Amino acid sequence: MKENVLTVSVAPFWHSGAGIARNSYISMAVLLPVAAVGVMHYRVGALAVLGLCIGSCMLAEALMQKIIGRPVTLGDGSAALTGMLLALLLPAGVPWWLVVVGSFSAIIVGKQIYGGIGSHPLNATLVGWVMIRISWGVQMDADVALANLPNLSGLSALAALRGGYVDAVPLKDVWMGNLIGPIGSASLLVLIGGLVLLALRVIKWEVSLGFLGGVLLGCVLFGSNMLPEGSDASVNPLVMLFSGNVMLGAFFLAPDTTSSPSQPIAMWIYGFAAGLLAMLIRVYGNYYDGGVVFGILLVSLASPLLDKIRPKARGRE
Amino acid sequence: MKRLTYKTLVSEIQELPGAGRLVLPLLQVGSSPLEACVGVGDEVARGQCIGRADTPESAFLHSPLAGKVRALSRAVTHEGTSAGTVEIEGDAAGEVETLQPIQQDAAELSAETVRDRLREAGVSPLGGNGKNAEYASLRPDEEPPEILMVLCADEEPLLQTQRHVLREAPEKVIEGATLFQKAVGAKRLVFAVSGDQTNLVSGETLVVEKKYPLRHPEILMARMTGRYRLTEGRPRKDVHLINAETAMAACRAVREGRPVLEKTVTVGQEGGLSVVVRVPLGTLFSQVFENMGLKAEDGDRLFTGGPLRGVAQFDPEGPVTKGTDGLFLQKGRGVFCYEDVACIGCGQCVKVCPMKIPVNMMTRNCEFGRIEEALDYDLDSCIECGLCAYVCTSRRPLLQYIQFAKKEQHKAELARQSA
Ligand code: SF4
Ligand code: SF4
Repeated sequence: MKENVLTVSVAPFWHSGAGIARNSYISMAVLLPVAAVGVMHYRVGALAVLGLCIGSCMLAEALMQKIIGRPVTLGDGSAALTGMLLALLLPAGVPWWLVVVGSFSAIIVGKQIYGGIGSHPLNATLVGWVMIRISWGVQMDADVALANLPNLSGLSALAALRGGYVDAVPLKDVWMGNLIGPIGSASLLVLIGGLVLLALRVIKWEVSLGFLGGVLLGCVLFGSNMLPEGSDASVNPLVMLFSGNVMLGAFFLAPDTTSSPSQPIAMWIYGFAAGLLAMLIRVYGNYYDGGVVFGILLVSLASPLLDKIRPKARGRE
Repeated sequence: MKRLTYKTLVSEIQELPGAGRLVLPLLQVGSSPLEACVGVGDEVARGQCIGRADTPESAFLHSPLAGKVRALSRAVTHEGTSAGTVEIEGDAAGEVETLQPIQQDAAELSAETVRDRLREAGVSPLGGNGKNAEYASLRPDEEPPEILMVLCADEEPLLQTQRHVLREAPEKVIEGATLFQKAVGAKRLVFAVSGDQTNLVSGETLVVEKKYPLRHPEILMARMTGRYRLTEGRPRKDVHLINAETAMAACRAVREGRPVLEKTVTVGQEGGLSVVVRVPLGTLFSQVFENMGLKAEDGDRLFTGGPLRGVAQFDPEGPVTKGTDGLFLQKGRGVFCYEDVACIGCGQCVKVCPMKIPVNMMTRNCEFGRIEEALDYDLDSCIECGLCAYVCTSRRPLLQYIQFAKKEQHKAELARQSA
């Protein structure tokens, strides 16, 4: 009689079904409508950036993993998601080489040199964005980048606010991304997608809510300082909440699994601090368009420290 | 996400008489290793003692069938240690050879009488997959515990063994619990039951919750005392725990003089129905499955115990022992596999850990044998419930890392002591 060959492993023999690939693909799926609105507005310009970003992120990941001699893990979708998020943060019409540089920076400098997913101290997408924003600021300016495309004029939401043109940013247009800005400006759709992620427990909801809380507090405390001095108009907090990538930050960037803390209290503090910092930079900083990005990046640095705030384990009380 | 709760009663216990070949390891849960007291070729009666030892923590082993001793050999038990085995071939014909029944009230009996009877009849903690066995000790030189807890519900999802036993013979469980209390000298007797079982027991009860792992012995015992213990404080000396089936066996051993010959097992195939059967000890897994029309094939996973804390078996010809509460088959397609990848820091494990351990950091250290660091992250609080591995987004074998680190720690401890 032939002997049976059984599968053996340690317990548990059940699994909840969670997975890296599942999380990546769900995140990308809920971002599809956002990308679609971007493509509607900017046509081929947006499509090219999206395709180029996702493609070069995946290429960078595969190349780097080959060079290091690790298994190629394109299948988990994390490189593709990084690419998609980066594209949504970029204005349509940026030169192609900038997109490629940004993507390679994101994957290689932001992620792979630390050992890949799970090891990078900062959010890879944001690292990529910051590299090109600081190095090629002019090309990254939505108002400039989009000037190459026909039939578009006006100011991005944040530029308009800084200029004091409060009436130029109606909430409806901010929601649907009708104003010029990055490809992923349809912030209402981002919010809906984010809520789906919360419901499916894909992201750390404490971080998201903390982030939104921090942004709101910032708005209330010093939001109107964003307007030019002497202006007596006031900024609608909802406009602040839905403009300048706050929603992307709250649901897709700040809760990045690797660069955010995991302890409950630490997650709240992290989210809240990132939100508040984002507002500070937006209102007072030079890179006001990158308030959300810089806010999250800076607070990520404190993430391992924040994780030290933890309850005493049972038995040690 | 599958919800980790416990199913409720569906049927009666089915008796599987069993006949043919039995394999009986001389090392059973809750007992020190035994010596075979029969030789190859001997005729054995049903209930005849075949393995014994003189240590106070031994529980004797008896032949579940009338027949012949075919072989004495060694094998790896399903708890993973090597032990001698007795192979018997026979059938369930004839009366069971019993010990002299004892009829006095528990109050009139001396602890020693009961203890000796339990040892001779082979009553060691039944079930729990060998994992909660250590919570009851029959050693006379040990300080009596404050509380003896009788767990009448099953620890894990899928398992239904203990609740079936209680439903079948509540009086015997209560009587046996009283006798066991006498034997260990506990001041209080507490029945841990689920909400719908409260009418079956009398005396002090602790209603257990439906959600895993709230029936884990450590959690139940901490609920009674208000305190958790670290690894070095386990097993607890102030609370002992036995299963309902152990209590029933104690009752039969004392009142009827009947030794432990069978084990109640929940058997099933994942995704299909499961049934509760009573089989002779030593029955082979393949035999039990065959009776249900199931068969383990290449690539399947076969495990004893529950789906979260059980033990995967490498051999479908392994025997049912006193620790086998459950026996399940996962067909090839449904077998979930762990992956050797990095932790992505999603924090799910931290959220789910009942002991509030920073599991992500703890297991990263465990994986690479950094025991001191793992201890800083509360390795010794872990009760090995397995929930962290169940939710892990990276699908890391977290429980394996934990068990590995605990073993390494234990080894280091031994080395330090002998140095
Ligand atoms: S097995 Fe995991 S979830 Fe359970 S107590 Fe240990 S660390 Fe916590
Ligand atoms: S659940 Fe797994 S991947 Fe997530 S933090 Fe815990 S160990 Fe890491």
